[in-house]
Amino acid sequence: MGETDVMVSIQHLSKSFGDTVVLRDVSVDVKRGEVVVVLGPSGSGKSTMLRCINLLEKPTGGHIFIEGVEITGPDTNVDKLREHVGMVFHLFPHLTAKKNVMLAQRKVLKRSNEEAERIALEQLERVGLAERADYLPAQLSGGQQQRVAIARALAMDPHVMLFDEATSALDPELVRGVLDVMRSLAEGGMTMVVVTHEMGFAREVADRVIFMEDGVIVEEGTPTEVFDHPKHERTKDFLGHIK
Amino acid sequence: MRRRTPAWLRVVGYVFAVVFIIAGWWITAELLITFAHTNVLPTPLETFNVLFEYSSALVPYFWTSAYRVVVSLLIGTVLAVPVAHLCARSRTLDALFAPVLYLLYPIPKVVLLPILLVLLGLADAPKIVLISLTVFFQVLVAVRDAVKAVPESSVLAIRSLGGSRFDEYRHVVVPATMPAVFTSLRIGIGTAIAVLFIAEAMAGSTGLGYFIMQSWSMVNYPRMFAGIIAMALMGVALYAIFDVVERLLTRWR
Repeated sequence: MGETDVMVSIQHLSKSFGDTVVLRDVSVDVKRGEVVVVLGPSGSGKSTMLRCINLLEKPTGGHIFIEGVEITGPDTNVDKLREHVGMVFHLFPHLTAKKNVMLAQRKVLKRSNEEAERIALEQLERVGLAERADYLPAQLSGGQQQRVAIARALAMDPHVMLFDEATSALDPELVRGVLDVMRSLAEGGMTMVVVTHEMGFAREVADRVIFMEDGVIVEEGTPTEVFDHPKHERTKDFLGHIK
Repeated sequence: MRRRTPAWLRVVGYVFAVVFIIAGWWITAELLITFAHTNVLPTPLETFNVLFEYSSALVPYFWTSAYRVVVSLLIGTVLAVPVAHLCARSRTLDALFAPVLYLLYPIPKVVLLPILLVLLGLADAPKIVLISLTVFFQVLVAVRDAVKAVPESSVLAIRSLGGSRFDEYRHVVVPATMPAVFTSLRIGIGTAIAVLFIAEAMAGSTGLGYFIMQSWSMVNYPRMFAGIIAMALMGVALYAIFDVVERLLTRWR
């Protein structure tokens, strides 16, 4: 396996907020095209780890490499980095679905209006919402909003996608649509790091499952290994509670 | 999605409001004439004639007052918005200014009028400064709180897309705080016109405030009332203009 096959390499990552230690010596490699699902109770540090990958949080210690380039060095071009790392966040409430997807294409990638619009419509089509292009976020359901947010991230041609509990605030009947989009992305070969509580999705789509607690990786393995034969008591406990 | 009141119902509402106000006014005027034997409050019918009669005399006073209010609203807002953003974004600045704001905000700025008259004379300057001050604090407090209320997820969203600090303001923070600017302005119009009236009534010989009080001292109540109506119309017109502009600029709501 060559160096370039590792998409994201997290090495000895640590993060503290003041005296509170959130991540301790976390190391993870995510291969190109791999789908890694991160599980764990709230406060386990999984969201913080995700945010360190695009430097929304600045690591306290350790190194992160994306496609072999260290992003934790002193002269990282943060904006350049973020173009390649897509993350799903809430929509801008004052812009229509299409304009949401166009904004960063225009301002950050400096695409022309026509090109940005064409790509926006393509990506909205991909998440099944082309006919909602001119709706405002308030006119969309929570699940549709998340799918537009995914389209917005995809329009930037990311090399890796980060999902931070993309379905956790949704009504159960809306979760499926979002997961379907994520599943089809995974099948299309997108490298993904997914923080979620959707065990069904993890079992079915993940190449690898990581269980975190108290800022450390307790256990990792294939879905079968982690779900059916967990080695650690804490993993068993957590999975027991979830079921 | 917010449910909108149907257009016909809104029209009915406005018609009802106008009828209600005119009826109340008419009844009050007739009661005063019958029991207090005074024509200090003209009936709506008389008022229409009076307004017509004094309209040419009123016009210059009206524009003087309108100019003062509009300029003051602009100055107050233009100064308040950047300060509000700075206060909301910098913990140090906020820590320094919050107590100052807390102490100054409740002071009725109109009590500073005598000082301003001494310093700035009797013309436009003291009135504009006074109203600007009033507006400044109202907009500052509203916008500062609105900036603080911008959801972190919106800011992170633009950052995660590679947006610059400028994009963050231009495309997230400013749109999110626009409604607060207009709400505080619409509320501020009432205060601004009240302060204008006091300032014009107390000093100088221009503006509707002066027109009203001069008519009062001449015991010319119809003329006085024409001035009052003109001032009220100015308030309504400004309110309506801001309402329309707000709707245009914040269509997503």
